[in-house]
Amino acid sequence: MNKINLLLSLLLAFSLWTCDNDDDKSDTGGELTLNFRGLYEQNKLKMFNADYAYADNMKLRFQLFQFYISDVALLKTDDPKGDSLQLIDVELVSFKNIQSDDAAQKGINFTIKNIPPGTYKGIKLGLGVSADLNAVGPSSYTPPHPLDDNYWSWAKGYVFTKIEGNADLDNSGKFATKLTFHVGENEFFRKKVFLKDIVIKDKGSSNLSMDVDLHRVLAQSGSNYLDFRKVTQDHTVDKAIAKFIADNLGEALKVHQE
Amino acid sequence: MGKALSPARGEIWVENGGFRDFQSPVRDVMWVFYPSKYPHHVPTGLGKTSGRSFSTHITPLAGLPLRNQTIPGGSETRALLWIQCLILLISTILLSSCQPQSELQQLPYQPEYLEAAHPPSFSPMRIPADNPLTKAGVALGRKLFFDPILSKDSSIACSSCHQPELAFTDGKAFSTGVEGRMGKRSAMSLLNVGFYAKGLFWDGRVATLEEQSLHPVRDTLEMRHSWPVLLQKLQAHAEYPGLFRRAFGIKTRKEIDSILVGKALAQYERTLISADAKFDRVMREGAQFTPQEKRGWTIFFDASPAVPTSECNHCHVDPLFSTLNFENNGLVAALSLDDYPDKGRGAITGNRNDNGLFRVPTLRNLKYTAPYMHDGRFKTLDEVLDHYASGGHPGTNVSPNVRKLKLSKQDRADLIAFLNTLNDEN
Repeated sequence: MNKINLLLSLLLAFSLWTCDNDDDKSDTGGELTLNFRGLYEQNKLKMFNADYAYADNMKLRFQLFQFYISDVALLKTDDPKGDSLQLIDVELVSFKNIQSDDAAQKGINFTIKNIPPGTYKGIKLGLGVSADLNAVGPSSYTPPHPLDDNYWSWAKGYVFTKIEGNADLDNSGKFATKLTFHVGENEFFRKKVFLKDIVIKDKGSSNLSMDVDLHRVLAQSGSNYLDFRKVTQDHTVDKAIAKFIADNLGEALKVHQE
Repeated sequence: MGKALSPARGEIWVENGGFRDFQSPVRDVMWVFYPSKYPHHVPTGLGKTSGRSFSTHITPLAGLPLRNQTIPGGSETRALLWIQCLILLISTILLSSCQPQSELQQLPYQPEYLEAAHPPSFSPMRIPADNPLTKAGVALGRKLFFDPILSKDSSIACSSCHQPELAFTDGKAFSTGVEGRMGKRSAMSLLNVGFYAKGLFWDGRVATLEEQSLHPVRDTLEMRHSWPVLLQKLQAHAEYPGLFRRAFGIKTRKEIDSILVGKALAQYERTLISADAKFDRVMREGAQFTPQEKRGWTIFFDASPAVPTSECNHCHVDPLFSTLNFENNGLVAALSLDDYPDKGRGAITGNRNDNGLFRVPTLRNLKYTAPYMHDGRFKTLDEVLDHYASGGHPGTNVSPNVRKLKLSKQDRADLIAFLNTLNDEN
């Protein structure tokens, strides 16, 4: 009887061991990490714990910078409208918890596995929530999900981008002026294409650095910037401001493969 | 010749043909198999090793010692071994069925599963796989919720601070625990708490309702009980063992533990739904706001440049009327982040930037949930609006969405008219 017990033990252990290896079998192709790092000009972007110089002797301190990305895909041809490989439906890139140098250095990572190996011609992504996803409210998603939050029920759409913080307008060191800029609505969804060879090796890991410069989001040039002495908030009521931020966000994002 | 094996623990443990825990000779890992007829009870002491669960709460079945063993070789013996395996399995089943049944096992365990409510516009409720809603589980949770047995001197129940007639609050700035002890924060409404997916309590210190339920029992300012003593009371109780049997299929009184108490309370709390206010009926179409309520709706949601902004909707997002995030709304004057007397979220995360942050509360059922804020400092909605109109106290981490408002007397009246549409009289 004792021999039978031992054999049963072995059989069961073996079956569990083989089940345990199922995950390994599904790992094919390579993986790609999209590494979003926040910048403010040449500086690392940190929430709360850093002050940044702004136009006309203003200073800024941030509490929140976030934006959605959607329909992220690798291009199989040089034509952005050609064949592509979808990587991400939607994700929220939030720098809310990036509050230290270490966190800023690490950035926010999204890793996609099992990508067929090869040389892709580029990557495309939407800045904001694509129209089809924007038409579906949070009630369709079980938390945690990128789209279970940041929804304007009155506008029936998501808040694509949020920038919140404080400004010191008079160099008093008090940062007494509150800033809140929220951008949503389909007309402010932007598509971005980066044509650049992206190599995915079988069983290899690749990294794409996606650097986004918040200063560039707020200021197009030395003379064309959001003047916080004149405006301190907008929730896509002033379409010109929403367009300014949406357009700038596309320009503020740079991609390079490491 | 076979290979000699010497498992360190040297025994197979079997409980009623269900749990089997043994040390694998192949890998140094212990395994547990959960029986299909006992699917919802993960035993106390559950741990994880290499992605598998193990338990130390297993009863030995006599007569199956395992010492140094040898696996015989030779193909002629394999068929015989398989037959013997079959005989062993049948024997085990027969042995199990021959064991005397405890008094609890005389009671039926036939779980009747319930669907979690999913009101329109709400995200689906997340139900842990090991604690599905059952009729008996909810009933047990309800009984426990209203039973002062959970407190040290049997003077207060969960319902003492979470009264149904007050939208599961208690109408006080600070709740009162056993022996008249004063709590530090106001009791939150439990309505729709099953949808809370970003932690619980004002500071978000626990992730699940199952865990949340355990805290007030041992909190010295609340029920001030000790779990071992409470469990003895429940195990010796005339009714509870049978109710736990029906809810979770326990076989002995000793199996009543804090985990099952937490599960039962969580099941009951997941049935506390408020989704039939006038606002909900308007959203579902069929009901209409009055002109004043409609204007208040527009102010609340900052939905038109034709009305002044109230900034409410940044934090109080429908349908829960809370983002469930943690914010500093400028209630307290503090010279620095270290000066908040109640550090709130910061005491949990250890992050200075979280000091003074508290969970954004729901605005549903405000008619019943006064006084307002985590410390109950405002008795009326007018006082709340006065605070927000002032822009609150400044502070490094005060939400930038809390800013001075320009609301006329009429604007405020309209806004309150809208807020009153969030009262669920049902």
